[in-house]
Amino acid sequence: MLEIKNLHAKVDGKEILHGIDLVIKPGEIHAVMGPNGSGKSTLSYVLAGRDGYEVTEGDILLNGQSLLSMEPEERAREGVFLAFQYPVEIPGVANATFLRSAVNAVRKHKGLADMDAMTFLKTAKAKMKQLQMDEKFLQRAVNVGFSGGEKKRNEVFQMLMLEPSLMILDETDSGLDIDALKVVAEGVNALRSPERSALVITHYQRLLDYIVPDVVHVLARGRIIKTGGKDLALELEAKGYADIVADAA
Amino acid sequence: MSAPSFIDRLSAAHQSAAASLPGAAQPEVTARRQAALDSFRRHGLPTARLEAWKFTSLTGLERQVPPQPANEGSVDPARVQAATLPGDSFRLVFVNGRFDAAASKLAGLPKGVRLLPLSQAGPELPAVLASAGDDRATSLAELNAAFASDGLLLQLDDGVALDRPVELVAFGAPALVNLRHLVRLGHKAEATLVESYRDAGSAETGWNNIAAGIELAEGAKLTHIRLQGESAATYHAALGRVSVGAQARYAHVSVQAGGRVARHELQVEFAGRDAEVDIQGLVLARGSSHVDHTLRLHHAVPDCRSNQLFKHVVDDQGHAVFQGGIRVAPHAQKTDAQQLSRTLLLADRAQIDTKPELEILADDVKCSHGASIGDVDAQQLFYMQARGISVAEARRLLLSGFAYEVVSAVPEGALRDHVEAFVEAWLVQEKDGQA
Repeated sequence: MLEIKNLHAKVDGKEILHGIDLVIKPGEIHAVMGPNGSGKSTLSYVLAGRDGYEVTEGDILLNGQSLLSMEPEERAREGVFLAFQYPVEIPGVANATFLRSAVNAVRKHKGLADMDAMTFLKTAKAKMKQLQMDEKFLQRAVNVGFSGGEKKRNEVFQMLMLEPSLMILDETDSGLDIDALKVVAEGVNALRSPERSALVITHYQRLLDYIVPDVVHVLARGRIIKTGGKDLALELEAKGYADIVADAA
Repeated sequence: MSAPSFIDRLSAAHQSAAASLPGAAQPEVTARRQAALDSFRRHGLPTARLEAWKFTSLTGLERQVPPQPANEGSVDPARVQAATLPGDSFRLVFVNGRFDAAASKLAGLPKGVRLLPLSQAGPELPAVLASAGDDRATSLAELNAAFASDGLLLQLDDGVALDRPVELVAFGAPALVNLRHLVRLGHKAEATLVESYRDAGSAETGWNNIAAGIELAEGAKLTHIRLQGESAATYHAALGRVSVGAQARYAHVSVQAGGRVARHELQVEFAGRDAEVDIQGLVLARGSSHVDHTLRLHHAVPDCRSNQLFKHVVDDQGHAVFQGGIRVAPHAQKTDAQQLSRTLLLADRAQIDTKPELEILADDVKCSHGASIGDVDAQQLFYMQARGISVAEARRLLLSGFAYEVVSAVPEGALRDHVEAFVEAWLVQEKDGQA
């Protein structure tokens, strides 16, 4: 599914990722944990193809195809979905308008006809119900005036609508209370399938109680310093990052 | 002997046109028209030497437009259809500066409403043609008074509330068109006016010279939408003068999305306390379109509120101008006057001149102004791309979102849909593939 090979990346001329290797097989959920400043968000932006995040060495393959020469929208259409740590507010653009454009862009890429307004609305409402979101969020401007939790829920809502093959969750748990966290996790779990993979980026172990990973990686100073099973997350929680980082050094 | 000047040729054209203009049989009217022409001759066209015309030049006009009134003409009914509201309305359509009865709808006017074309008015003409001033800054309004061939006259008696909007739809011509309008709302009267200037489909250069007067009595409410979508060959200059009585409310939305050079100057005078004025503008300029909004709000009395929000989307070599003048008279305490100008420049050669002009002579007031200029937000763009949306589509959505703040000032329903469609029609032409 996803293969990251010796990935080096620069932001503002400074190398942040110093050679990351990571393979996620279809159906697997991998967690990347790490202290602040370890390069977690950089990794997610590099995968999504954000401007200014320059890959200097290595490659990223999705189903054997390199993502590096693709624009962000092409990656999204190929099935990469980044749930943003800080979802962006877009005044004046209704959530429904935005999401329907996105759904139809992805459908077009797959050779499917546009989803008509009625079907879109019906599908969207069903997904919102699943996430316990009020339908009024469809008519509101994208993320404008949403609470932190509502923004994160809106990210997962978009993910449910777009049904990506690779879900990247960047600190989706930050700003969520425990109830919202459960709802969001259920949304992600509902998408789990043998063909769909996920990369869950998080600082805390808490989210991983609800989205149980197959593999846990520890990222520090731009490198993966340790890889293990789901118990590694518990160990991190108990010991803190300092010990693990020190052990690996 | 040198060739006659532009102004001499206009004067000659006036001699031949005078007999066919409305009110030609009324000595008071003909005298007023002659005085207006004399005033224009004295002052000539406004130039950049005037502060109010600092950024907008009409110099091309003298070379490009025949200095004579337009002949009769016609417009494709499909264009009229596209420019008008789909639901119930009272409607006056003007083509080449002349009332088009067949395209208009005036049947069933309620009691207390007088709505008619200027060409059918009589006793009101002296008031309609009243002078806006005898100087270079108002010379175009005087030229308009000299030549005004038609226009809209709307008068509501005290307490009358019109439940349908009044539409004024005008199509220009490859010559000089002078429409002149007067709207008077009585005590607590209420109306909605949609004033549209549209592209008649001609590639030839024309000149629309518009003057409008609006008088709101105590407690009157007017919602005034103005849509300018003329051809890229058209010169459009309009002067609107609004007098707002005590406790009256004037809500104005002006969208300008066309014209070679298009200018809408609006002068608002607060004539009574506790009145409220909300003015929102949207400029959509591409190609070499030059679009100007010039405002002068005069808080002449205490306790009034005004708000101005102007947004500009400028592409190619377009040029937008916003001059927001606010004057607060010495005794106009408790004035609340806000002003904001926001601009997206989408190309290297796109330009905006945005100039707040605040003259505050009272000490107990709340006044603020601000301006921002930038490109489409890179974070917003990336967020949309990360959902699979192309850059071109994302930019269109972002521009539409930027414009929506102004569009949403229009009352919800058919009216807002109409304005939104007008804006979207411009946006869908936005070119693809910008990085």
